[in-house]
Amino acid sequence: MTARKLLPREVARTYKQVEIAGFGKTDLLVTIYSTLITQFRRSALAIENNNIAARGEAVSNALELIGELRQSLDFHKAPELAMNLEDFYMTATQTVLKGHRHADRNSFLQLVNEFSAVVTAFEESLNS
Amino acid sequence: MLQVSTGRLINRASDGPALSAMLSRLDAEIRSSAQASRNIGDAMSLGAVADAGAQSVTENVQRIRELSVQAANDTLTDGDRQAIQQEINSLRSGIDQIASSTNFNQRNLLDGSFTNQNIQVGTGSADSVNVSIGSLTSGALGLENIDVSTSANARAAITSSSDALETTLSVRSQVGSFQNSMESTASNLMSSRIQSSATRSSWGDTDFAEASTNLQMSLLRSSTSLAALAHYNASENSILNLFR
Repeated sequence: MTARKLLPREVARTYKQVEIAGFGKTDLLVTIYSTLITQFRRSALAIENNNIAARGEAVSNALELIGELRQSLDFHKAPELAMNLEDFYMTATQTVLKGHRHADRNSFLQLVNEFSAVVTAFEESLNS
Repeated sequence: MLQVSTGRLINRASDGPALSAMLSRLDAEIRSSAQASRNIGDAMSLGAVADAGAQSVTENVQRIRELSVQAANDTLTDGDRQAIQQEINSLRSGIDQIASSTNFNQRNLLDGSFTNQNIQVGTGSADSVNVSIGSLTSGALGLENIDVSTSANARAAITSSSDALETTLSVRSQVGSFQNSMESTASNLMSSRIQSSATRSSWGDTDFAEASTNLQMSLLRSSTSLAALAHYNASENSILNLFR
């Protein structure tokens, strides 16, 4: 039996699967944040290029990622931090929707800045 | 230990049943509202696609109207009118092409088939918005048989194209109003969730920089492992699905 040749997307997904399987929660968080920042950049770029389809796809991915982050919050394990994270994610959701509705590139650039600052705070916290 | 690291007194149900119940309710609310946010995002994408298509149709109709005005001028020759008719035919084909190819998630938006569609925009069963988008085909716009071969026909074409322009503007206004309703629904979704959380005594307009600063300070007071703990329910499998 000949093995089916994997499509490039499947190869990437399999690679990601192996990579993620070895992740701790912190690694997962940083990976999700990085992916999210990429989606915000894609949204801003799509607005710049007036590419509505690309903008819709990037926004949809971003909302899915933020939704996943929100749903992963555990308010019993770390109440104060989870509450602050929920505030942050809700505000981010609102900013994404506003930026999408008005094709406002600056909203997405602000999201890039704010999420990058939080990733930096994660990293500083990790190194301290 | 957890009490010290979180800075909160409530960590177990026995510490504060009311707050604990509220936190559990918040968990459930978040699951529903995260999905509603995604639906609203998709609905906004749908609105943006429909609006872009409708804008292109409007530009074509405007050009048809300009050409009809030009053709109504008696100083033109038959040859001139033929050339104008050819351009009008091409613009009309363009309109039909846009109407048949403007789609979202394989659903046509501008051919009159997108009617009476429900978008779930909230966490309750009644929280849905019904949307219909009018047809922008040349037939629906009354431009199917537009003819400028004589100055009299061209004058009739001015009336037809003016009516068509009104129709396209009306559809665009329909789409714009849908997009506005999505925007206000998004903002209502946030405020209803915020009110029901009952954890904040007051909440003004959302300030992203403030939310970000609060979070960063909270992170600095805690540790990365606590941030991971706060996202305790993050699962590798569900996250994997998001990498495309």
